[in-house]
This record gives sequence, structure tokens and C-alpha cells, in this order.
Amino acid sequence: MGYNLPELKAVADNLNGLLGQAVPLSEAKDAPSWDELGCTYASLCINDKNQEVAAILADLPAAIALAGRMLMLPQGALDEHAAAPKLDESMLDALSEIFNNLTKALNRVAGNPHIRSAAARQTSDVAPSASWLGEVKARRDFVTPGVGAVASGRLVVVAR
Amino acid sequence: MKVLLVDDSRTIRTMLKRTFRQAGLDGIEFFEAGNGKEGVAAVDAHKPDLILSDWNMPEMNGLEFLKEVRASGYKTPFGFVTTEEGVQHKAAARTCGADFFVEKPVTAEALGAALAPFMAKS
Repeated sequence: MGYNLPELKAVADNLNGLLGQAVPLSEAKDAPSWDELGCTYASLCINDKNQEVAAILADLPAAIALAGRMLMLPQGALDEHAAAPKLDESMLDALSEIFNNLTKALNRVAGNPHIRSAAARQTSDVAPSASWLGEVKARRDFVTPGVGAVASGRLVVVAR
Repeated sequence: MKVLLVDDSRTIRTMLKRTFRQAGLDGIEFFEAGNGKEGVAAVDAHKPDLILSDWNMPEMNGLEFLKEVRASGYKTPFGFVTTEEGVQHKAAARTCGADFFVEKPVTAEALGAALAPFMAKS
């Protein structure tokens, strides 16, 4: 039986609860390759048998938008992050916690095995040991809106 | 009152301290650890009055940390602050001596309610 991915509402509600404000997510119709998304971050989701069964990913704009909200950064600071090629340590730490919290949305899907998330890392660092990310069985893409210098971004959940 | 916060996320530890203040819990001396192993050392070093721990952490997870704390004879009130919602997780933690749970994301109201019995005793 395959791993089931959460619906848009479950993901949006989870983020709203964590970040304390509405995150206007929408579901994307397309599914660009990781290379097309550029710098992305991933947390592998591991079941109780220590098997990787899913992953949560975000491209840089989505990561900045979400982690920035978690850290309650002003727009000016978000704009500065948007000009950087990758997340700094505090933003990456915040993104890890956002992904960790999103595991609740995955765990709440009926029939799914319990999972926990590993710390978020750049997908390019994760991919060599998780080659299945290149050929996932299911994928759901969500769009985070652009604000200021932070472009519209992608939050993606995938099942192995 | 001395409170030990154990979480591999510095962001969460910072947010927890802020949530303590939002809950009106002032005058607290905080100590921090990034995993259970560091938590054990911090318990020995600081003898906290209360421990709040994450569940999923590298090196030593929260349940293993709790077991170590109890095996060392500490009866310090111990609560989990976690995304884990499973009944089995909570049952295992209770069996090992956990006193309470606070679900992430932590609100001031939930934290205040969970800690009220222990703050009154301190």
C-alpha cells in the first residue's frame, strides 16, 4: 500500500497553526524537476522501521517565506534573505521545524504509517543517499505567494 | 525556578522562552540542551525544577532522555513538547515517567495550563 499525501487544506491548516497567520497556499498544476526549482531543501520522512517513505521539500523562495514567518522577520529582512544564494543557519533551523510540524499533516492521513522528519538539508546534499527522490511514486506541489523581493515558491510533499 | 529546555531546534527553544513570558511565567532561569545526551549532562549540572523536552532528536531522543533522567533518580517534573500525537507515544512516555504533554505549536494558553500544577509547587 502506497504512502498517501495530505490535501491542500491539511497542509495550509498546519502552517496556519504553526505560523499564527494565514498562509495563502494554492495547489500547483505542474511539477517541475528539482533542478528546475534551483536551490531546494528537503527533510526525509522516516517510518518507525527507519525506512524513508516520504519527503517534504521547499525551494528557496518558499523556504524564506515560511521560515521568515516563523522567525517573525520583517519584510526588509526577508528581502535580504531573498538576495542570498541559500538559507543561513537560523532560517534552516526554522525550516526544519516547519517540516517537522508538517509531519503531523502526513501522519493524520488515514492509513499512513507513523513518520518523523530528519533535519532539513539542501536537496543536493540529501539526494545522493536518497536517489528515490528522482523517481517518486506520488507528489503534491503547493505554491507560496511572492511578497516583496521574495518570489512565489514551491512547497512539495512526495511519497517514495 | 530553573527550567531545562531540550530541543534540537534553537528556534523552538527561543520560541518556548518567549511563550513562557506570554503565559505570564516570569522569573525563570532557563538552561538549554540540543539533544537528550546534552540534556542528561544539563540535568546533572543544573538540577532543574522542570524539564521540557522534544521527542525526536539526534544522538538521544526524548524518551531515552526521560529514561536516563528517571534511572538517575531524578523525580523532576518532565514534559514533552512535541508534534507526536500518537496514543502509543504518550502511553510509552507515561510509563517511563512523563508528567505532561504540550503539543507543538505551543500556545501560551496550553503551556500555562500544562505547567500550572508544577508552577504552584515550586
